[in-house]
Amino acid sequence: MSSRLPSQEAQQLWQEYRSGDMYALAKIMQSYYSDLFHWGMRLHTDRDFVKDCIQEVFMNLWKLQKSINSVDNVRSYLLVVLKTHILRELANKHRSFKSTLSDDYSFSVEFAADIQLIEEENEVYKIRKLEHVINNLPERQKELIYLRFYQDLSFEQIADVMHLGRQSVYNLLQKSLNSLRKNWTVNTIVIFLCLIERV
Amino acid sequence: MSLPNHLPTGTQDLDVNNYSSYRVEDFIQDDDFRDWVQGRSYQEAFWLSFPEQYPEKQEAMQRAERFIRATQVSPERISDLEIRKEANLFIERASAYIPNRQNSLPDFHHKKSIWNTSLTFRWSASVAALLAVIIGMNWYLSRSKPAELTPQRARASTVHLVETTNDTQHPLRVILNDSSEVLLSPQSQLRYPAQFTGNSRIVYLKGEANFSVKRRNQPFMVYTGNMVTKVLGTRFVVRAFDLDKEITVQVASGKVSVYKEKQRQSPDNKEVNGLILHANQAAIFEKSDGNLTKTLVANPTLVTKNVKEAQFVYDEVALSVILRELEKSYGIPIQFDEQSFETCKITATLSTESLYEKLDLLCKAAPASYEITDGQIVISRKSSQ
Repeated sequence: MSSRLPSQEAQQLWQEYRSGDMYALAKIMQSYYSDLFHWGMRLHTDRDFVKDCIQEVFMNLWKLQKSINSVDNVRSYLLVVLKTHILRELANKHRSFKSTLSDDYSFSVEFAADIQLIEEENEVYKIRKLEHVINNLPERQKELIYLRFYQDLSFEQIADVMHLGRQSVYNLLQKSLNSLRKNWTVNTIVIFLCLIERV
Repeated sequence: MSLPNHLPTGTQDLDVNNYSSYRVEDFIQDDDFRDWVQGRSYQEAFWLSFPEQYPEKQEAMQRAERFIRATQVSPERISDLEIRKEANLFIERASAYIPNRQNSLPDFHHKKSIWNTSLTFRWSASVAALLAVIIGMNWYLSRSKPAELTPQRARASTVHLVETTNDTQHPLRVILNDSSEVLLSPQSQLRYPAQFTGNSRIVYLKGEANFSVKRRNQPFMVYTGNMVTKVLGTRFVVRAFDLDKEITVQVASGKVSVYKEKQRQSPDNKEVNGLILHANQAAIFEKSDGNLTKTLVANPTLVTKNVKEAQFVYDEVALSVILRELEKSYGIPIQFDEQSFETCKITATLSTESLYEKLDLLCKAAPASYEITDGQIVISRKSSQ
């Protein structure tokens, strides 16, 4: 994921797609595929299922081409659409799921600290400890961290992707703050302060 | 929350004034700082020298680095080939879709298995057309990449290593299965697995090659005799000809670690076992005595993204300011005594000169002299007569 397609180029391709260029849409798909796939796998860890869902999302975009509007950011729009699609498919599969709009879906991410070039043992220990605390956060909070730092989304975009209003994102962060105060020190609280600041 | 927001908005904005009020969260939200921690920054020297310039920020910087490292997520294993297949599958399906006759088409919302069995004769009728489209698409999707030469001699050995030898007079481009690119120099040989498996990506080199490594969580390692070069994703050159007395590694961007494969040393051996190299730095491994030293590449290149910054036009500018700018532009730490160069003002245009030519001219004007030690440039003032 070293170099993502710049959002301006994606905008250009999006316009071309909307005026009927199938290859532009395929190019968008190819460029953002690894991000979309990664995101899908967080929502349901079944490779074939996620691949099918991505195909279906793009097929729908192609079918609905005439009625699709311009978007602020192509990548975050696709993340939203893919999530909606996956949750709907899962709801169809297991009838027990009540609503796709609830925030009751599962989200699995495993933060794996990058300590490759760190030589000092004490430093590795500190990073591992922080990794452990973050991995034990509730799912919604991990999703938030994932979207901010792995998918590099802005807070506006995170609110969209998580189907939350700004106020709810704020509440979510407040909740995490309170829980973190109990089992962690300033270190992580500070992080969440900075997240709030950006909302 | 009404916390003040004083974050730089982009990576180009490295206005020094901001940093004195930086807090942990500001570092974390700074894209360029994140890039640096992850070894793909264009501001190596800037962040390296940051703790010296802002000693009171060291703690905050460390915490931010820890957080960034702790929140890494492993990528999913999906190859470029697999992605291209999916894009082609989409083209296939999308071209079969005729907007005004939707009802007679297979329903794409069903699972793949259903979709496969519901192929109608409509599909076979359009196979020829599809093939043309797929070929066109392959070209479309790959046209942004430079044309790739087929290896001169590639054969699989018993341990599933592919061996490519460049017998031509020109560099040979080899694409590895993780999409990393290797430019193999003439008279050089590269051995690599057809498919990288396990926890690391290992290749064996004889001669010289220029690597552009795709960033992955499995480290990429180049074995050259007794020396190993290890990276996560970056650009660098390894030169290890059998006849040469030394092996060199030169780094173009990112962070590289170089070390000896085995510790076959005598007890009284005090030499370093490993080095970490940043952009424009190089390592030299003496085969005879096993000495590993750090120096600079022969011709350092600019590492800064900001072209405006790299004009090198000065009108009565303090030498210390110029040196800091060079440091930032080339990503190479420059050591000098701030005070003794503050009063020395320079007027010059140095846009076309190489780094060493620039230093020569500046040192002449100062007057001063420079030397390269341990991958850094050390400048000392000559006592004025």
